[in-house]
Amino acid sequence: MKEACVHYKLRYGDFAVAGILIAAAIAFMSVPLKQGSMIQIQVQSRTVGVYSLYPDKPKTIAVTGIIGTMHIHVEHGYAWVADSPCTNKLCRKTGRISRQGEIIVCLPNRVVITVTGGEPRDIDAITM
Amino acid sequence: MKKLVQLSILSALAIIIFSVENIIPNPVPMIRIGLANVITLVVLCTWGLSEAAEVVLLKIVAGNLLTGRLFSPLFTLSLCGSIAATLVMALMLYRFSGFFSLVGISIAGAAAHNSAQIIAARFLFIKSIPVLSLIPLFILSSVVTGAIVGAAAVYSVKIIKKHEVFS
Repeated sequence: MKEACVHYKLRYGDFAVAGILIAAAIAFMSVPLKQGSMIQIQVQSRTVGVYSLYPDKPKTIAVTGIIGTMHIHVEHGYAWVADSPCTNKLCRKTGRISRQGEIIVCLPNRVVITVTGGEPRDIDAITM
Repeated sequence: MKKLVQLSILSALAIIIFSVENIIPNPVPMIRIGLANVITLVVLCTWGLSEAAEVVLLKIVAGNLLTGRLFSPLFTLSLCGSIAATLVMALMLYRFSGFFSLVGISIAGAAAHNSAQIIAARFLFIKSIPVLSLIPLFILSSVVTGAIVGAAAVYSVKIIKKHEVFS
């Protein structure tokens, strides 16, 4: 039988562990996201197209949502909404996206534009 | 013989805690408190690493059997996480016990559990999983859940040692 010396009261090592972990979390959070290579366009949760973020020449993609057609501009690794039929224009105000996981949402038009890395997923879904 | 019975009771407790925790609806998927870790800590404090390993393996196999995901990807992740957590906690308890109380040991165990899970998920199942953006969330949550589990373990171990429940 191995008798471990157990401490019940908080010791300085506890604060060191918590501090190191929180510092590590903040350090990981400040690592910039990776530059994306593709954009995925979804209308009402259905993927309607996947395009490269690096087209040979600047490109405008027309996407038809539920209230009209919006135009998405893609150029040199950036994508942004050029114009949209929606009223509040939040999708235009989001500005340019370029890094993996960045997203533009146009809720009135039900359009979601996501930057992806282009690595194929080998699993369809995971349930919890 | 007495030890066998006591370890069996603790394993049964761990399995029940594990299963019940999995039934409770969770607002945040993937984040659990991990209360079954209290049992691991109790076994580590009362016996040793080999006994704790037995209890943990029993908990993972029987607990996942009860929740219906034995040999699923989640079972594999659960196994990796628990092995890592047990090893880290045993190391801290037996080699560096002067520096940490059970709370710190539990926090480190929770962090090891979460990190091992996400790294295993990255290499075994989903290559495109955004490890870098998920790890801060998991580490921060492990500080909170680890502290809760550690506090529970402090009270449990204190009572168990005081009344010599297992000896």
